[in-house]
Amino acid sequence: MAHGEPWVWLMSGSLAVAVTMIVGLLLFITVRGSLHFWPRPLYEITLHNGETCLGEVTSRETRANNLLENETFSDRRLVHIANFELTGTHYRWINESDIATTQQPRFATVVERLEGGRFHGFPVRVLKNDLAVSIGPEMAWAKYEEIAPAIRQQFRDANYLDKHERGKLQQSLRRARLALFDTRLKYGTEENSFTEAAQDKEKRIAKEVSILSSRLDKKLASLRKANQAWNFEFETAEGHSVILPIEEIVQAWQPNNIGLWRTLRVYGARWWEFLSDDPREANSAGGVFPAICGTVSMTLFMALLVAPFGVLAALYLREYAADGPLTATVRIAINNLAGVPSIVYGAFGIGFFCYGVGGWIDELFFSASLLADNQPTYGTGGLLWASLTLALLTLPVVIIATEEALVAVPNSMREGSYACGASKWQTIYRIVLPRALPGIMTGLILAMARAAGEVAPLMLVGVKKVALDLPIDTSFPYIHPEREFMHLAYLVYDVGFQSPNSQAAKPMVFTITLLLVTLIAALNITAIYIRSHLKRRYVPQHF
Amino acid sequence: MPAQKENLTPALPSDGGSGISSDRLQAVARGDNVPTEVHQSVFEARPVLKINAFSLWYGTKQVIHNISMPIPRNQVTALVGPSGCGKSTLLRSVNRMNDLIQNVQVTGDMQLNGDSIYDSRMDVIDLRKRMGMVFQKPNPFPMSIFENVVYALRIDGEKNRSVLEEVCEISLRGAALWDEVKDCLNDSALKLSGGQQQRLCIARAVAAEPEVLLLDEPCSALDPIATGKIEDLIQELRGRYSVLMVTHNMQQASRASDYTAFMYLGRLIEYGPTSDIFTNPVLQETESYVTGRFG
Repeated sequence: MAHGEPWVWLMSGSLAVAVTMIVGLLLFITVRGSLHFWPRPLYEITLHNGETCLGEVTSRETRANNLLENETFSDRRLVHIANFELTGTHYRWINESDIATTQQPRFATVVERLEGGRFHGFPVRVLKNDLAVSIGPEMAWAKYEEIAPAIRQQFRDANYLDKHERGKLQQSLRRARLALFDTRLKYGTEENSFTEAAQDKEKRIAKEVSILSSRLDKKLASLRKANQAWNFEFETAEGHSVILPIEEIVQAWQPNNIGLWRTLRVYGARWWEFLSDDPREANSAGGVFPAICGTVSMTLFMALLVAPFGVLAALYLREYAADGPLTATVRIAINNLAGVPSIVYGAFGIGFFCYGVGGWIDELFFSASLLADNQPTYGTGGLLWASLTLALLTLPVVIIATEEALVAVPNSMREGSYACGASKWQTIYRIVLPRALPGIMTGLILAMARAAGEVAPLMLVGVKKVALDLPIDTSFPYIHPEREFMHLAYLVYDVGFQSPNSQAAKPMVFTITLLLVTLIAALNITAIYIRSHLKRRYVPQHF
Repeated sequence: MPAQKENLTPALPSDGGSGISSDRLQAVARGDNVPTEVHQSVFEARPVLKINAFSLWYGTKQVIHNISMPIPRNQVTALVGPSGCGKSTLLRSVNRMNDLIQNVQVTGDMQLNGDSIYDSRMDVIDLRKRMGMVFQKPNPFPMSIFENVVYALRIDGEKNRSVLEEVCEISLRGAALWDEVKDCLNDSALKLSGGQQQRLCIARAVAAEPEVLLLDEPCSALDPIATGKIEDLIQELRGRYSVLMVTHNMQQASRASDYTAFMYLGRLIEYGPTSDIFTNPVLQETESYVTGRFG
C-alpha cells in the first residue's frame, strides 16, 4: 500500500457512507411517498363464517400466538375496508386461516367522499330526481363517468361563489359593526350625533347585506338544485344499499376494471387533487394546498425579513465596528445563538411578538374588534410573527455567512476604490457588496433550508392544524399577516401522530415529506442558480 | 538608537574586494542620521508636491526617517532602492492610504500644491480625488470597462452620460487602450489580459484629472511586452501629469523617469535628475546600486 493510502480509503469510505445515507433517505421517501396514490386492487374476501368484506390489502404480517405451551404462528392481513359509518372501523385484521375465498370482482368501486371517508361498493344504478336513469353496474358506471365532470365543476363554482361573495358581504357587515363599536368607544354609549350616524349606517348596511345575502342564497340554491338531483346507488359487500349524492363524490374508480393507461390517469388525478385541494377528514384525506401556500409564503416572507437585517448587521460588525472586546463578545454571542434550540425561539416569539408587540398593536389599532369578538388580531400567532420568529432563528446563520463573504473580498479592490476617492460606504455599496453577494446568497440558502423545516417554534407562533383561509389570497389587502396558516412540516406531525385515522394517515406522512423535500429543493435550486449567475458577473474567473 | 538589523538588509559591498566604500550605508544600517545629497537642479523645477521632514512608524518601528524632498511638476520622478527601503510606504503616504492601516503614526508634513496633506482639517476623500494611484497588481473592479474608467466621476456624483462617455474615451486614449476596447466597453473588465488591465487602471487613475499620479511598481506583475507598452505610456503622460513612480527595475527608472531618488532603509540617500544619477552620481553608494553591484 502506498504511503497515505489508508487515509484515502478512509476519506472515500466516509463520503460513500454519507452519500448512501442521503440517497437512501431520499429514495425511501420517494418510493413510499409515490406509491400512496397508486390504485390498488380491491379484494372481496369471504370468511368461513359467511362474512364478506370489500377492501384493499394494506399489509400482511406473521404473528405469534401467545400460547406458552403451544407456540403457533398465524398469518394475517390488514384490510382497508372503509365504509366507516357502517362498519365502525376503517381497517380490519383478518386471519389467513379464516379466509374462505378471495376474489377481485370486476365492478368493485372505490369512492372518495367529501365527508365520511372512503366507500367501497358495487354500483347498482344512477338516480335522477329519485328515478332510475341507468341500471346495472356497467351502465351505471358509464353514466356516472359521463355526468361527473360537469357536476364537479358546478359544485366547485357554487362553493367559490359561496366563499367569496358571501365572504365579501360578511366583511362589509363586520366593518360596519366594528365602526359602530369604535364610535361607541370614542364617544360613549349615550346618544349623540356620532353614535347615531354610525348606528344608522350599520342598520343600513345590515339591511343591504341581508337582501344581497338572500339573493345569493337563491342563486346558490338554483345552482345546487341541478346537482342535487343526481344520486348514485351502491351495494356494499355485506349487501347494504347506500345512496351517495354524486355531488359529494370527489373521486371514484374501479381498480379491477382498468388497464395501465387508466391507472396512470387515476394516479395523476389523485396527485393533482393532493396538490390543489383543501384537506378533508382532519387532514387524513384530501389535499394539502393550504399547507403548500403557507409553507412557501412563510419561507419567502422570512427570507425577505432576514436578508436586510442579517446583511446590515454583518456589514457593521465587519466593516465599521472597531476590533475590540465588545465586538468580539458580540461575535461570540451571535455564534452561540446559532445553536439555541428552536423551541426557545418559539417561546420567545409567542411571549414577545404575540403577546407583547401584538397585544400592544391590538390595543392601539384593533381595540374595537378585540372587544367586539374577544379575539385578538395581532395578539396571537400569525404569518407575521411566525416569519419574524424564524427570521430571528436564522439570523446568526446569515450574519456568519455574510461576514465570511465580506472578509473574502480582496483588499486590493477596496484599496483601488479608496485610491479613486471613494468614501467607505461608497466602496462597500459599489465594490464590496456586489463581490460578496454570492456568499450572502449561500447564507440565505442555508437560512431558508433550515427555516422551512423547523416545526417546534411554528407550533407556538401561528401554525394551525386546519386553516383553510390562505395568508395570501385575492381579497384586499391580499397579504394577511395576522392570519394563522398551515405548514407542511407541522402537517407531517399532525397527520402521522395526531390524527384519529392513523393507519390511513401513515402513508400520507411519506407523501407530505416527499412534497416538502421537493419544495425545499426547488427553493434551493432557484437560489443556487441566482448565486451562480452573480458569481459569473462579479467574481473574476482568471487573472 | 540601536540599529535594528532586519533580515531584508541587502548584503553591503565589502570594503576590501572592489574598493567601494560603504561607510554611509553602514552608518545608516547602524541607525545614524546621514545627510541627503540632493542635486541643485531639483530645486529649480516647480514642485507639485513637497515632502517636509516626513517620518512614519508602524507601531514602534520607524520605517521612514525624516525625508524632505520636492517632487517637480509635470515630470516623472522615480523612487528606487532595495526591498524594504520604504519607497512604497512613502508613496502610499502621499495620498494617505496608510491611514487604512492601524497603528501607523506620522510626523512631518507634505504639501500638495500648497495644501497641507496631513493637516487635521484636510478631507482625506477630497485629497484622494486629487490624486490617482495605480497598484502593483492590476485591480480592475468587477464591472464593465466603461464603469471602471468613470468610477471616480460616478463617485463624485456625475450622472451625465455624455460627459462620462467623453471622459472615458479621453482617458482610454490617454492610456493607449482605446483602440483595443472601443468596441467592447460594456464587457467585464475582468476579461482583459494583465497588461490591458493595468492600462485600464491607469486610465481609471487619470480619468479624474489628478494633480499627481502615483504608480506603485506598475510593471512588476507584467510580461516584458506589456511592460514596454506601459513605459511608453508613462513617457507620454509626462507633460500632462506629474508622476511619482516606485520601481525596483533600474533600466525602467533610467528609461522612463526624469528625476530619480535613491532610498535606503527609510532614508533618502541621493536625489537628482535621472541622467545625473545614472551617469554621474555624487555618492559611490548610489553608483553601486544603480549599476547593480548590490541590491
